[in-house]
Order: sequence, then structure tokens, then C-alpha cells
Amino acid sequence: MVQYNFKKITIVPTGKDFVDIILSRTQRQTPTVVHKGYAISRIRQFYMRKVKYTQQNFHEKLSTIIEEFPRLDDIHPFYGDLLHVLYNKDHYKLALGQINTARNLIGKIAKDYVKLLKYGDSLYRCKSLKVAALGRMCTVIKRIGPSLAYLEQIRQHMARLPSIDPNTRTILICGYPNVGKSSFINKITRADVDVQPYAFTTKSLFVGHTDYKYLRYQVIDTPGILDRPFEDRNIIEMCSITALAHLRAAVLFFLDISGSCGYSIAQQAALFHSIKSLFMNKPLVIVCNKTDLQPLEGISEEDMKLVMEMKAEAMKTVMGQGGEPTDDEGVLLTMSTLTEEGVIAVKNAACERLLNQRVEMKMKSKKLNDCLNRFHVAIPKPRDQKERPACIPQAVLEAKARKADQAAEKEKRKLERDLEDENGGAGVYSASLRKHYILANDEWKEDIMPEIMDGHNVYDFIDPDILQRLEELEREEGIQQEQEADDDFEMDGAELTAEEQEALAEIRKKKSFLIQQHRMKKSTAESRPIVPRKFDKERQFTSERMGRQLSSLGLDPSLAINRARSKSRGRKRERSPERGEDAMDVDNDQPSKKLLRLRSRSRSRSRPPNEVAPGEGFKDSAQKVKAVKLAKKSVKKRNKDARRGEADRVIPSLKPKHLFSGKRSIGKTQRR
Amino acid sequence: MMICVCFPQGDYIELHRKRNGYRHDHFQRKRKKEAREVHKRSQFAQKALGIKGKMFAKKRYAEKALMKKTLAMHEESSARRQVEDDVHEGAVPAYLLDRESTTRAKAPFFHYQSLVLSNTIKQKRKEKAGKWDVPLPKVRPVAEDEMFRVIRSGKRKTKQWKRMITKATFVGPSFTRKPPKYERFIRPTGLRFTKAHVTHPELKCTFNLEIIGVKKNPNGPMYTSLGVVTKGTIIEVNVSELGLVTPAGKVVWGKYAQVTNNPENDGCINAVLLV
Amino acid sequence: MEIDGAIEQQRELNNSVMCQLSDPEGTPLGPPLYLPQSAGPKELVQMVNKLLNNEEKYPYAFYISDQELLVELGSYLTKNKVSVEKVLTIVYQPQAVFRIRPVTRCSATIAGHTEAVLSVAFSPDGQQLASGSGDTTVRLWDLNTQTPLFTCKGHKNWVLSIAWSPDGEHLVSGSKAGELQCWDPKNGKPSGNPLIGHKKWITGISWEPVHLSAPCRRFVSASKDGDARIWDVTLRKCVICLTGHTLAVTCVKWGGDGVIYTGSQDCTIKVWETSQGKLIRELKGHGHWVNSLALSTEYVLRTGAFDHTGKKFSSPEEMKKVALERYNKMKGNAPERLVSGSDDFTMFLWEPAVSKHPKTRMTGHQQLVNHVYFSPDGQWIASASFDKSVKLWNGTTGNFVTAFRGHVGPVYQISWSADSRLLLSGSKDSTLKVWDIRTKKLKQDLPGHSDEVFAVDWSPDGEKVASGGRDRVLKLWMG
Repeated sequence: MVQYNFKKITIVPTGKDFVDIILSRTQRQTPTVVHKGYAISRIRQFYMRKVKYTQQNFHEKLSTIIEEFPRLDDIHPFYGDLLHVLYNKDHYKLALGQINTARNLIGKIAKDYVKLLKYGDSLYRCKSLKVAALGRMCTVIKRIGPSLAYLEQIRQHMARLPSIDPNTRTILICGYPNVGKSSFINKITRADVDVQPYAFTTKSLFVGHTDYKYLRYQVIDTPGILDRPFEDRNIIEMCSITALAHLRAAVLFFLDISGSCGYSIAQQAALFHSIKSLFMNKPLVIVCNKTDLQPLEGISEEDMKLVMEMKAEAMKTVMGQGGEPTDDEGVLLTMSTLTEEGVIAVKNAACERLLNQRVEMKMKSKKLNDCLNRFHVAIPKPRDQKERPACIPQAVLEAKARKADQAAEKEKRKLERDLEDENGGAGVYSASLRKHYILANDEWKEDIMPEIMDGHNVYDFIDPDILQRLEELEREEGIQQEQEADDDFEMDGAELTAEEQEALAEIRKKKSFLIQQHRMKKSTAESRPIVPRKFDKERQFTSERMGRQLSSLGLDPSLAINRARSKSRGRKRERSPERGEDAMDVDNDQPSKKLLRLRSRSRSRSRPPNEVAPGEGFKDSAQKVKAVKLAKKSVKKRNKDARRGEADRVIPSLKPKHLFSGKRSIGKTQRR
Repeated sequence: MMICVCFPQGDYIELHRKRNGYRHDHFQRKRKKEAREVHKRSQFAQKALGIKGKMFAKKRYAEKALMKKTLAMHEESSARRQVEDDVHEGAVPAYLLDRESTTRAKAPFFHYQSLVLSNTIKQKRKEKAGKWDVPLPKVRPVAEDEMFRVIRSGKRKTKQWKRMITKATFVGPSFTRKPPKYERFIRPTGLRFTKAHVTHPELKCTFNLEIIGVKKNPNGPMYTSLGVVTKGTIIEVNVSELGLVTPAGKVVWGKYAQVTNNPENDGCINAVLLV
Repeated sequence: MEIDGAIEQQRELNNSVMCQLSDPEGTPLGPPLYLPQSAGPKELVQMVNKLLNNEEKYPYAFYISDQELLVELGSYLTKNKVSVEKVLTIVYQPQAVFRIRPVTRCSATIAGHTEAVLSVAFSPDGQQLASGSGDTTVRLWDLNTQTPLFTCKGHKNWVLSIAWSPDGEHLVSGSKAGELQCWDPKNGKPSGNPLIGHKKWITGISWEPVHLSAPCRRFVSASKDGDARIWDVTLRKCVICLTGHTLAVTCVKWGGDGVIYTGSQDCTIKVWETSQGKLIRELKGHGHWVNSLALSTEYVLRTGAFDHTGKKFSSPEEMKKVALERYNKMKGNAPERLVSGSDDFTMFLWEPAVSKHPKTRMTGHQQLVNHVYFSPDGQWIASASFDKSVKLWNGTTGNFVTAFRGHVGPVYQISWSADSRLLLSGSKDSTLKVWDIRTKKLKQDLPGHSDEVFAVDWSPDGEKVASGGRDRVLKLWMG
């Protein structure tokens, strides 16, 4: 049984789409290749499979449609009747019946053609039979196309029906059009029903939910009902009548006292009496709405009489429940949805009546014992007669009292808004925003504040803490001045001691020397050779040539040559046993060639690769060598391209001469 | 059979629109999207291949034809027409005017001049002569090995005198097989047909009528006697459901029809009524 | 002796039945009588004539619980096992004095129309015959020589319906173009211009009865455009337009009480009053189009003052008087009854003057009911349907009596003989069949047409039958 959730019904495709879907599925899911030369049984099987597959698919899809659409007799009579009113039971059943017949017809077609396929003795014949079979099945579906379209429409509409649970607590609102039913439901629930001044704004049932005494009630808003004979009612009215007839709910009959809905009280009373048979066994509350326009006491005599008649009817329902006959509080109520007075009272009354009725019904039913067994109310016996009221600490009580005072005060305090209203309203009175300023001198409140001076914003220059800051600043300044004075003194030099001065001189000298050295070594355009060595292929620009040239100029070339040599790097790097103790000693003018190499910019010296450094963790150099090898191998990129690698056998020459020339060794033939 | 009332349970969209209005660029976007549709469709039409492409092309062509027709109609309506004043043929009385013509089509349309039925003398003479005025005068001959399949029988499967008919047959309600040992021609049940889809050539509507018998098979009298129904065969069908009456007042219940398809390939017998 | 006497007495007692004669409406005629069981219909006729103090001996038919009494009372009782204790109610129905011979042969096949013949009608005195056709002409035929008499040209489209005025002076025809034309039957010339008013084709025409106004001036026409118009031939214009139907009006009848009944495709029948054209009643109940209406007094209204004697009248007042007499005799005390046949396969029997709810619903047809017709004496109702059958129903209660089967195609039109003993039906299968009401069987089969038969009519003097159809010839049949 569907939980009245008609949203789960699968989409009903149109006739054409249906055919397309199934045929393309057959094409995809069954083997597609068959040749003339295959064994005839294979060909037959191929085509039979297609026919059967198509039939199965049609069968499945049509069956889902038939099963998913609710059977009007199986579901709750409320929904059954509602669907009948909306879609006409007969048409609905007919459409589903047609689908059923189509399903059977397709089954028959498939059976017949499978039988015929057994006699197919050529590929052409089997193929034509299959085409005929599928074609016939598709015509059947084409013929029920209108039914499918109709069912799709129904499905779309059904999915949007409000989910009304017929068994839970329900409050039903009914009455003439435009009496204020939808406004009421908007007020007590979160439903957002359209409210318009024309009649029949609400065209179908709307559901909202509200709470009362920790229980959830569903409130159903119905379209207005007109007072007409039963046969003349249109579909919209029939919806509300169906709801009234089938749902066990509390009924709120709305009455528009003021008559602004366009119908007089007499007409509404007439409607009430004509449908009062539907109110059997339902708690009925008569609600007089729009009392802001017309209070209940102010209506005319006849109208009052009619209203009292209706009340009497409603009282009957109260009596029928075994409630006290004198309890007429919850039967006739007044309210106004515009000013919201009485709305909650109506809701509470209705909920209360419904709850009482349901509880009574449950008590009378047999399931009562089951319910009773499930819970047990424990009433502890009092130990003694001492009264033990709730303990509230004193502070809380005081705070509460204070709060009450404050609240009172708050209420007494005049709001600016009230002041405004007093003094002439929004346009006339402008509030004085300055009157609550906290200033040292109250007279300053009315002062005009300058804003621009000398082309600058005054506010940019304002700082409230300026005095403080000024003081701090002055303090800082005082300290700084002293510091500066100290600094200058030291920089004079006359105050230094002799050793200090010497040390200072030394340091300065060394510093300047270092700078000099660096500048010399720096590779600027001036210090680099103009022709870099890589372009000097003929080795023209040697230091000897430079020496000759310089000598021809009359200069001593030795210095220059030495410098050039110190800059260059030797071809071979030789190891020197001494580590550079005095590498920095530049005063050595004639270093040996070997040492020159040392001074040139060579790469940093390192240990030989095999040698195990103490902290490395190897046992001996052999292990280290192995480890290094492994490390290198692991980094090597895998030859995933299946290209020829180093391990692959390389035939350097594919046809080596010694193998392809000459004759066989044993002399059998002249060729190899 | 349609839902006439469109219920507003689904009008939450309109409600939202009424309350909150549209997006600031809603109409522009909609307009542009619609403009783009045209290009997208043509793109798809150019790129789609295979069966998809064919189906789409077919749909597109149908739309194009419809558009052309409506345009033509619009142009027509601007010209004043006197069509309604024309006196049409085929006058019917008032009680038949609003009814669809299929009610008429169920019964054959006899032109008052044509001689209709085979009971008249001329037709009887024609029948005797064996000359027929048929829609398919020439039919492809069917070879014997196409018609029959040799069935081997006997203990060692050496005897080959049995034949199974591979085409559609009609046997008649009183048919009983010869004892299997002696029957030479086997007519499989799966290939036996009792009904034919008969089209009336003038009304152009088709009825599913029972076959009374096979009158003549153009491939030879042997096939006629066997009851084989191939293309071009003349069969006699039961037309009582059409409600035909001779001028003399008798009700006609059997007429001849000629088969127009290959029943073994299509699984059904399609025929044309011989009027 | 005593025993003998007792036996004799018992025999006598056994031999007689307590009977109560009553007329069709139920009012008893005289006190309950002891009738011997050997009494048959003839004796009963004498009895009734005596009780009614009739000057002439009129024929009657007797019915016991809707079954006709053809044999002696005794055999009837034994056959039906009716107890002698109870009082037997015998209903007597007056039968027509004259007896019509059934038509058996086609006396003439007259060609002339160049398109299908759509309607045929005899004049009320039975002397003239008119037919309307799809070739836009109305033709008048000479019955003595059985040749064409006049050809009335003037319509622009097919002539769908024709109607004679009850005094025989005027003939009106309506066409598919929505125009009506009035003709002078004596010379076949149009009497005036075509009457324009309707926007779509004319579906039916009915004249005002002559007993309400003589000479005949007004008639009502119904059209597909949904309204019915009352025209005056002397003024040659439309006097009142009866609008109200939402779909086409399929049939219209002018009732004897001066109201007009219109049946329409919107499934309702509306009753209008004729002086102002106001709607009096609306009869709802059908589920589909109302195809045809029939009134119990229709035959009398159609024939006006003429009857089987063939008397001619000198002045319209005399005609009116005679017509009124005939009408009152026919109607009796009962209110006028109306029967309607519809596309929903059922018919309803109404008494519109009494209530707006139908009296009986007559179901049984399996296809739409095309034509319904009361018998001239109002005793029977015949209905022609597309399910190839003609059904007969009781004219007062609406109970089903019998079905006539024999046609092999939809039955289009029916017509009664003037004595109500024979019924004629024309069908799509190109045959006409005559059915006997007494034996409830087929009396005569009339083949001969080569195509569908669209219209049939039996002349009021009972001599001839005219039929026309799609084969464009008019056939006259005689007895």
C-alpha cells in the first residue's frame, strides 16, 4: 500500500518514445551480427532472441505502469473519491485496462511469431518475420498512445497532490468562498496559501501543519462551496465535499458575519444546513470571521437566529460525543484574521475538541488495553504532611523583582517614536540626536563643530588622547637627546685609548683590504677578459701574448700574467696534501703552479667516492660502493616504452661479413 | 478522454513569480537562449551520424513540411474563398452530416453503375472461363525445392518421399491428417492460417476476415489442392460482417480476394478484395 | 342431482373468468364482469363496443399484461397459468378501422435526380409527393403516372429536409446553405425569396398544427448553428428566434399544445412556448447527442384534417374544426408524450407537460438510435438504430416489446402505415423491410435499391410507399 506518496510513480513515456526506447534497447542489448552462412538454427535463435527480448521489455514496462498506478479500490476511500472527482474513475480504469490488453496482445504476437520463426529456413525469411513481429508490437503501442498520454498527465497531477494522511488528527476548514479560510490557515500554520479578493482563489486542497499540546495536527484548507444541488457541483467543489465526507476530522465552518464575501448570512446558513449531513460524528466548530468589520453582537435579529440555529446543530455533535451538554464554549467562536484576535482561541478549541473525541474513541476501542499495558503512571505516596515548595534562591527573586521594575520603567520610558508622534509626526518633527551626548560641559552639546580648515579635514587631525601622547613624546625626546649626545662623543676618536685606537685602525685596514680584494676578484666588465675563452679557438689570446704586448708597450707584464694565471683554472685538478692553511694569505706573490691551481676557483674538494666517512654507517668501502650503486640504479627511469635498453642485446652489425661470405667449412657448398 | 481542469497544485512557480518577481536579467537571458537554440540544433543536425542522425533528420523534415503547409494556409486565408458555397459530391442527409465517414466506410461504397457481385450472369461466365480480373496478374513462380523441404524418414533415414511445405497454408475446419505413415505432404500447424487482412480497394480500409478456401494458386493446381497460400493466390473470404446485399435482396457472405504479400515472410496474409 | 348441479355449477364457475376491462390509460370501463372462458377477441370487441355505446363497430385489440390476446380466454389462461381467482385486467386498444395492405412490389423506379435523394415526403392528403436531393433541387412527382411533375430549382446547396404544411398548401425545403425556400406545390414555383437567417445547414422543419391556426402560416426550422427559428410564410420572414442550445439542434417538432420541442447535440431537449419564444422547460438526461424526437400525436398533426377517407375541405375553418376533432380524439385525456432517441444508445419517454424528469428510459440498442417514431394511434414506439435492428416499445409505458432483426446494415429511417399495423424501415444495406406488428415478424422484404436508402415515407392513404437513396432514383412501391 502506497503511503499516499504518489510521487514514486515512474514516468509514463509517450507512445513514440516508448517504442524508441524499447527498440533501441533491443538493438543494444542483443547480439547484432549475423551472417548468411551461419547454421540455420543459429540464425533462428538470433532472431527469436530479439523478438522475445522486445516482448519481455514491453511486458516489464507495461507491468510497472499498471502496478504503480494506485487501484482506486485499494486505497483509502478519501483518496479514491478524490481521484474519482478529479480524473473520473471510469476513464482511469479504461486507460489502465487498455494498457493491460496491450500487454497481453504483445505477448500473443511474440508467441505467434516465435512459432513461425521455427520454420524460417533462410536468413531473409527470419529477418522479415522478426521485422513483422516488432512492427506489430509497435503498432499496438502506438494505438494506446492517447491512454499513455492521459496516464502521464494524471501521474503529474497526482504527484502534486498534497500529502494528506487520512488517519491522523485533521482539522478541516470549510465555508463559502472568500470568508477567510485561507487567511486563517496562513495564520496558524506555515502554509502560504494565495489570498485574493475574488472567489475560488483556492482551487484545491492545501495542507498545513500546526501543533497543540505537543501533538501535530494537519489543517486542510478547502476551496469554497456554493449552495447548489449536488449534481450541479463542479470539480473544485467536489474536492471539498470529498474531503468532508471521508476524513475524520474536526470541522471548522466559517461564517462571514460582515457579508463582505458577497453572500449573506442567510445564504451561508442555507449552505450549512444542506451539508450538515456531512458533519456527522465530527466535532463541529462554527467560526464567525471578520469580526473587525462587524462584531457578532451587532448583527440583525434574523441573522442571529440563523446563527443560533447553526449553533444548536453544532451542539448536537457535542452531545453525541458524550461531552457535557452545557459546554458551549467551543462551539461558536468569533475571530478576525486581520487583527488576529481570537485566531489562537479557535485553533485551540478545535484541537481540543478533536483530541477529546479521538481519545474517547480510543478508550472505547478494544485496543485500549494494549495502550494501557504500555505505560504505568507512578504516583509516589507522600511521606509526611510537610509542604515542600520549590526552592528559589533569594538573589533570583530579587533579580526578578528588579526586572519587573525595569520592565515597568521601560514601559514608562518615553520612546523617541512617541515623542515624534506627539510633535507632529515624521515629517514635522526631527529628533535632536545630540541631546544624549556625554560631554564635560553640557553647554557644548549645541555647538557647531568645524569640519574643514585650510583645505584639510579637521577630523583627520583630531585625536582624543592627544595630550597623553604629547607627554609621552616629550618623555621620549628627552631620553633620545641624551643618547645622541653619547654617540657623537665616541665617534670623535680623541676619547679613545691608545690600544683601542690601534685596534680600530687595524680593523679598518683589514676591512678596507678585504673590500679591495673582493673588488679585484669581482667579475665585472673591467675584470673579465673581453674575449671569453670559448670563442678563442685559435688560442691566440694567451698570457704570453699579453706579456709581449705589454712589454712592447713598455710595461712590466709579470704582475698581469700572474693575475691572469691565478684566475684561470688548470686542466687537471691535482690533489694537494696540504689543506689550505694560508690559502687566504695573499701576500705570497710567487705561489707554485700547483698551488695556483689550488687558488683558482675549482670545485670544492670532497672525499673520494669509495671512502667511508666515519658517520655514514657503512662497514667498509665495498659496502658503500654497493650502496651507491643501488641508489643510482633505483633512480634510473624504467624503460616503459619498451625501447631498446642497455641490457638488450645489441647486434652491432646485422650482417657481419664473416658470417655471410665465404663457403661452408666442410666444403659442401660454395655459399654459406 | 483528457483532464480538462488544470489544477494549480503545481503553480508554486507562478506564485513565487508573483511574489518575488523575475531575475533582473531573466528576459534577456531567455531571449538569448532561445536565439542560441537555432544554432545548436543546426550544429547537432550536422554532427549527428548513424541512426540518430537519420531519426533527427526525419523529424526535422516533418517539421519543415508542416511549417510550409501552415504558411500556405495563412496565405490562402487572406484571399476570399467561395469554397463553402460549392456543392460537394456525395450528398448525405442531415442525420449523417456530423458523423465521421468511417461509419460509412465500414460498408462498401457501391457505385450505382458497377455490377457488383459474382452472382450475376456475366461474372458467372467469367468464372467458368477461369479468367480473372486481378490486381496482380503476374506472379513470380515458386520452384518446387523452395516450396517443399525433403524430410528423411525410415529406419536409416534413407527414404525421401515425404515433403514438408515451407509456405503458408490453409486447411479448412474439416481437415484431418492422413495417418502419419502415409502422408506425403506435411503441412505444419505453425504455418496454417485461418484469417486474412483484406483491403477493400475503393474504401481503402482493411478488415480481418476468415478464409473460406483457396480458389486458385497461380503456381499450379497441385498447390491449389494442397491449400498453399503464396503471393498471387486467389482465396475466398467470408464478408458477412461487411453487410453486403445483392440487388435481389440476398445477403452476400463470400467473396474472392487476391493475396498481395509473402505470408511466410510476414507472418500474416494480406489480400485485396476483388470487386 | 345435487351433485350434478354442483358439478354443473362448478363447471360453469370453471368456465368463467372475472375480468375488468380498462382503456390504455388505466381507467376501468364498467364494473368487473364474469366472462366465459370461451370468449375470444371477437366477443370482447362486441362487449367493448356495447359498453362504449359506439354507433359503429370499431375494431379493438386486447392486451393482458402487455401481451396481445389472440386466442380464447381459456386457452390463454391455461397457457399462462393465470389463476382464476384474481380479477383479470384486460386492456383494450382501439384499432384503426381501415386496414392497410402491405406493399409488396416496386411499382416504379423514377430517375430524375442527379445526386442522392436525401428526403421524401407525401403531402398530408396523399396526393402529391416531393423529394429533396443533393443536386440542390426539389422535385414533385405525379403519383398517377409515376413520372416527374415539377423540378423546383433555387437552392444553393443540398436540400436536406422538406416539409408539407398540414393543409397541403405549402411545401418548405431547407438546404445545407442554411436557407429555406417555400414552394407552391401546384405549379412547382417558389413562392417568394429564400428565407435567410440561419448560419449553418438546416436539420429539421416542422409546421404549426392546423388545429391551432388555419390556414397554416408558421413553421419552425432547426439548424446546426444551435438555434431554431419560427418563420411566417405570409410575412416571409423570421418572427422569433429560439436560442439557447449550445450545439447543433438536430430535430424540432411543433407540439399539439402549441409548444415547440427541440433536441440538440448538447444532450438536452428544450421546450419553448411559441408566442414569445421563451424557454419553458429543459429536459436533461441524455448522455450524448439527441438525434430524433417523436410526439405521440405526431401523425395526426402531420396529416391535419385529412384522413383515410380522402375528403376534401372547402374552407380553412372547416379544416381547422375537423383537425381539432381528430386531434382531441387521438390525444384523449392523457398529456402529450414525447420520445427522444440519442447517440448514447438509449431513448427517453417524457411527458413534458407534467414533469421535467423522464418517464421511462428505454435501453437495449447496441448502437446509436437514429430515428424514433410513434405509431399513428400512439400505441407503439418504433426506433431505428445503427445496430441493424428496429425495436418496438409500448407507446404509453415505454416497455420493450420486441426487436425486429433482418437488416444487415444500420437502419436509417422508419415510417408507419396509417393503420399502425405495419412498419417500414429503410437501411444502409439498400433494402426496405415491412414488419407486421401483430405477428412481430418480417412481413415483406423490399430489395431493389442499389445503394443506401436515405429516406422512406408511407402515404397517409396507405396505398404507396416512396423511398430514395444514394442511387439517385426514387422508388414507388405498391401493394
